[in-house]
This record gives sequence, structure tokens and C-alpha cells, in this order.
Amino acid sequence: MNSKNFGYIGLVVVVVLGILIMWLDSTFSHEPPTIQLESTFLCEKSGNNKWMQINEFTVGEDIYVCGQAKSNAQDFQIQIRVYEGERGALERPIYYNNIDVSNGDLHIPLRIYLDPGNYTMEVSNGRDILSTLQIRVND
Amino acid sequence: MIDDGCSLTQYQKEQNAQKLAILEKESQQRKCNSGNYNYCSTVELIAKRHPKPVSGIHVGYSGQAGPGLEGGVYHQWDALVDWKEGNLYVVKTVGTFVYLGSPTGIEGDVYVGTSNVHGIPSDVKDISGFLKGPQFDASASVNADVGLFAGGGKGVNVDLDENGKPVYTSGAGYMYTTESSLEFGGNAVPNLVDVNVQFGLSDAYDVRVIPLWSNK
Repeated sequence: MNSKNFGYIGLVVVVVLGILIMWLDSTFSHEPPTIQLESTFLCEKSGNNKWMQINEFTVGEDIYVCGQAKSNAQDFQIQIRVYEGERGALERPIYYNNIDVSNGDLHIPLRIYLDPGNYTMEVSNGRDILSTLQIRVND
Repeated sequence: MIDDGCSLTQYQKEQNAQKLAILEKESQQRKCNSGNYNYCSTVELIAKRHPKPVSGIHVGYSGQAGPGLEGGVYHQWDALVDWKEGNLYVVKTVGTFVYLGSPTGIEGDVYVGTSNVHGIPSDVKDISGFLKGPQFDASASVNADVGLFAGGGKGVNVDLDENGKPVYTSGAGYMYTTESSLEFGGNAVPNLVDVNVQFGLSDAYDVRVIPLWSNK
């Protein structure tokens, strides 16, 4: 087979694949779910089982993220990343978790031990950042 | 055997140290398993959050012009398969670029090729949120050019979050896409051989999901 024939076959394969994808797209495709987080804040459970907003934590204290999730899907996933201090352009997170959530109230535990200092937490759906919160941990 | 007491104490010390080391290791393991990746080894990070295989084909067209420094725009469709979950994603992208290389005067082309997405963690089921958003693009191509031209190129897109920062996940690494393309087109200045590099910004503005063998 010479290179000209090889080129024609490649072109036919691409055209057939293109038509197949266009047909699949027009027939079976659907929009991905839209996800929103509202009124997100850092919180902890009080003695009477109520969730209280907390802005500063002590070392070893349980940290939760509270808020309300709204989506046109019943179940979906969000990602949490924690950065030391302010997030720089190439800074890598010290904590990452992918969490299954449903519509309604959220109480997500941050399963991390944080040394005293300031941290930035981002909640995202892929590349879409849904919420950014600052965490302060005291001695 | 004579036990002088001293060696037994030493033995106990070593045993206690060993127990402490085991407890410390178990504690680190628990922290790693609960999502605190500071306490995971490199092997554990790769095992937990290794990038999932996402690849497919793309087709697009672009146009460019300019005196000396040339610039242009492109529009591209990607059909990407999440091989783990069994979903096909159709992604539409529009971008602008600066062109450095053989002068073209004015140029238009169509291109087709393969795309390979890196850095999406394997535990994410619906990756549409990772595919949609801004990118920084860089590419290079070589074409045989007699007015009409044909050639090939390689490119990389660094995927950015909505704040314009690269997306990094422990174990999966930075998110980026590599592309290989065949190009066909025409331009106003036939150079016999065109060599160029392009830099630009783009936005994957629309993503649609087609379940293939996924149950969703």
C-alpha cells in the first residue's frame, strides 16, 4: 500500500468517525449537571448537635465544611483542596479529597491534621471553583 | 544461657522502639487513607489518585493573518473517551494564538488528530467539570507549502481553573492535554517549507456527555 492510499483510508476513517460522533451527539448526549454551593462556611458540631460557624480552630479540632448544595443531578461529586497560606499559581495542595454529595445541607469533615497557621481551602467541581474559604489554626 | 539483665533491657528498648515505629506507621497510614496526602508515600499517591485514561480525536479549523507578527483564531471539537467510566465527551473549544515562524500573509486551514488528557484523578466519575474551562496552548508544526499546504504538528494545552491557575491533584499530577495533528490549508506566501510555533489562550466552553458503556 502506498502512502497515497494510506492517506485516503485515514481520511475515510476520520469522516466516518466524525459522522458517528455527530450522530451520537445529536441522539444520546446530555448536558453535564450544574452544581452550586451556597452559604459555605467552616463549622463544628456544638454540644446540642447544632452546626456552628467557626472561623478559627485549635490544633487537633475537627473541621467541617457546611453549606447547601444545589444541582439538577441527585448525586454528584465535589473536590476539596487545602493549600498552605494564600494559594500561589503553582502551589500544590496539602490535602485533596473527592467527595460524593447529594442536594441539600452539607457537613463535610476535613480529614486532616493542620499545624498552626493560615490555610486556603477550595471546593470545586473539576476546574469550576465553587467556594474559597480561609482557615486559621491556632496553637 | 546467662541473662545478665542488661541485654534484656536493651532488647526491651529495641522492642519498644519497634512498637512505636509500627504505631507511627499505622497512624500515618490512617491519615493517608482519610485523605491527608502529606502522609502518603509516592507509591500510595499514585495508587490512590492515578490519572484516569482519557483520550480521543479532534477536528478543527483556524485562520490567521498579520504583517510580521501573525495571530489568529481557531475553533475545535474534541471527542474524548473516559475509558474507565465508559463515557464519551464532546468538547467545543475556541481560542486565539500568536504565530511565530514562516510568514504566511493570510492563512486558513483545517486539521484533525488525536488528543490525550492527563491529570484527571481516577476517582472522579463525571469529568465534564475537568474538561470545561480555560487553557494555555503551545504548539509547533511543519508543513510542505506551495500555496496549498499539508503537514503535521504537536501541541500541549495546560488546563487552568477559573482563576487561571494550573490544576494539580496529588497522585494524578498537573492536568494537561497533548495533541498530534495533521493540517491541510492554503496561504498567501508559499515558502516550500513552513516551520512555526504558536502560543495562545483558549476556552473549552461547551461539554456534552454521551454514555457509551457506562450505566449513567
